[in-house]
Amino acid sequence: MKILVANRGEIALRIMRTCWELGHQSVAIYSEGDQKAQHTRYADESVCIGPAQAALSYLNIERVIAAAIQTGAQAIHPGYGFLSENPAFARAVEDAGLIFIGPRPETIALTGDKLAARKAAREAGLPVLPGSDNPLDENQSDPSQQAITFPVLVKAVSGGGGRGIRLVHNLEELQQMVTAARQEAQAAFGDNAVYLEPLVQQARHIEVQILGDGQGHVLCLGERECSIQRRRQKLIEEAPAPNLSRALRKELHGAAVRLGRSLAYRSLGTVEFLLDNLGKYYFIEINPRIQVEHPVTEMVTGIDLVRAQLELVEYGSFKLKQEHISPRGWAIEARVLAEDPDLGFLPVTGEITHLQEPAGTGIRLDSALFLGMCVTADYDSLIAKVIAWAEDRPSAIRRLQRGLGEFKIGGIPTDIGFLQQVLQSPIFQDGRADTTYLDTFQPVEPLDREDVQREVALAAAMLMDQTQVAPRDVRSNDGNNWLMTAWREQM
Amino acid sequence: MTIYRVSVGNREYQVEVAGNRLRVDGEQIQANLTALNELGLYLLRQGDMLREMHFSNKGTNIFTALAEGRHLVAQVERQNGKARPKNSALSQSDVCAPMPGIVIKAMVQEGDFVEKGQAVVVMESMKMQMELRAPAAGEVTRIFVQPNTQVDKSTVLVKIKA
Repeated sequence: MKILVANRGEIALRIMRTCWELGHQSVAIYSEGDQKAQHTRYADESVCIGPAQAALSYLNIERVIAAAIQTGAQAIHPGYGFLSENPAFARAVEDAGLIFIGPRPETIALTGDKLAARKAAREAGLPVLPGSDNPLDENQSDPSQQAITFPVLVKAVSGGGGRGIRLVHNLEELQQMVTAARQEAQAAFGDNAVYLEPLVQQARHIEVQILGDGQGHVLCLGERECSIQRRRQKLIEEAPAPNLSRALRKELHGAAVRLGRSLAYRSLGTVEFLLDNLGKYYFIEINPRIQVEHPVTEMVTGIDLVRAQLELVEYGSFKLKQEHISPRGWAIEARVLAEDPDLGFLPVTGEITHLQEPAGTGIRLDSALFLGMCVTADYDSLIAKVIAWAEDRPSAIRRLQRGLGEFKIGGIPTDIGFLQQVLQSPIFQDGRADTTYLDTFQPVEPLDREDVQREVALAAAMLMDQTQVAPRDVRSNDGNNWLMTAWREQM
Repeated sequence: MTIYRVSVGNREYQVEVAGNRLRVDGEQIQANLTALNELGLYLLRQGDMLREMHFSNKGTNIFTALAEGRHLVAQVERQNGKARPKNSALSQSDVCAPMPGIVIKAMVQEGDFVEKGQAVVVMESMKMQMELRAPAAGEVTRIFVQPNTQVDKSTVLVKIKA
């Protein structure tokens, strides 16, 4: 089978690796900004589909499908983000006579509508948060006519990925927040419909991985805890979830499978729940795609999720059985971002001038970084994922700390130091973090190390002195080259 | 022996270098620095202590350094000693890009005399236009500015001989 991977970066590379192992040919699509990217070079064939801006390339449905037809690909894997949750894309793929590696278009449409998904969950017997199944009436000038308990969240009906959410503390700010949320939703998702959801206090985010065959059989691959979030963006995830009773775990798994069955769910999906501090859980949403944090599930189950998806496409049913799925040990993932924690996590750009990657027992690195790569503002700031597996949670934490410590990325600041601080914190080590943890996080030790600054000063002076020229630059853009040449001429 | 004033992040140090004999803020130190590759990776040895560091050049005397997982910017200026060659590479009044962005244009030419605080470069970053100013009065010796070029943080844009 020839498979076009409609994505880029680490996930595209990851999918192509499994394609290779299963003997499938892979086709990469790349933007002009990704000409040198690893995923572009890894695939058997690559098609340039447009300029760097995602809207003109990775999000361009016509070009993606044209690339598949041009190369004779039979199937398309959407990865995560980009077009993976776009029902029009899934439909267009199938209309073109190609296989969409994921759920049916109708399922994607349903899961994309947060209220419809909520309704489906309730009908499948899952607990949902109190509130209306209907979006907030636009014509209702005073939304406070509904009985609302504060604080409350205003969420976009067509939203996702933690975006388009506003927190409202009281009646006074409700109207203004609703208006703001509508504007953001319209801009981000093309739909200004919003709804209200009560805020769950001290919530833990726990999600369950399912795999369905599209004919009513659904496997459960265990849960993940994703409570370490910064502005609703996940930063550290783990499997299994810590401090979860066997009974509650069984209930969450059962609920996810029930929902999957009721939808005759096809391919991979993740059912998200919030757990409150009283041990009650509520369905939040279902994600119809492979997720960023899927490696932690793979590490504890030993199962390649992309392989499971591809086998489903090839054979029409699972090779896997529920009895084969038996998690062992603990896995934790840390997301390495091109963001500067000292500047409020401002996304950064620049060239990777030094790269040393972690390795060793139980360390997995999902990354498309290479020396000399340019990180630009065109795409997400996630540049790599470090995952550690060990026999128990404390060992997994320790191993992840080793992995992050070994990961040297020169040329741009990253959040690695911040991740280390979170892993070191007692609350994280006890497994007691909830989704508000990072809002008020105070590191135990400051990142500032005077001794390191002193050594750098010493070395920098020695460098200047030693050679009377600056250290060899890694050639990147012509601008720097020209600068360096101009400077040497003066000597 | 040469004396350097080095700023690293929010701290400043005075470093005296005479081969392997060094002084940092007056304190005597023995250290040596070896290149591990041709790509900016070095090993600093102080007695039994080893520290791996990576340096990349961001301007004539500005480096970004990666050490112990910390990303730092170091600026080195020679303070004394050997007579400076006529067009010294080390000037105390370089105008550098404060953040990544696009250089719009230079407002001066090579050979111009500028006052301290005079606007010399216009650049745009994060949807704002800003004027970069001369940190000291002097003669503009080199302009490394091409209109509509993207620059990194700390790139030297204009050299001023104070």
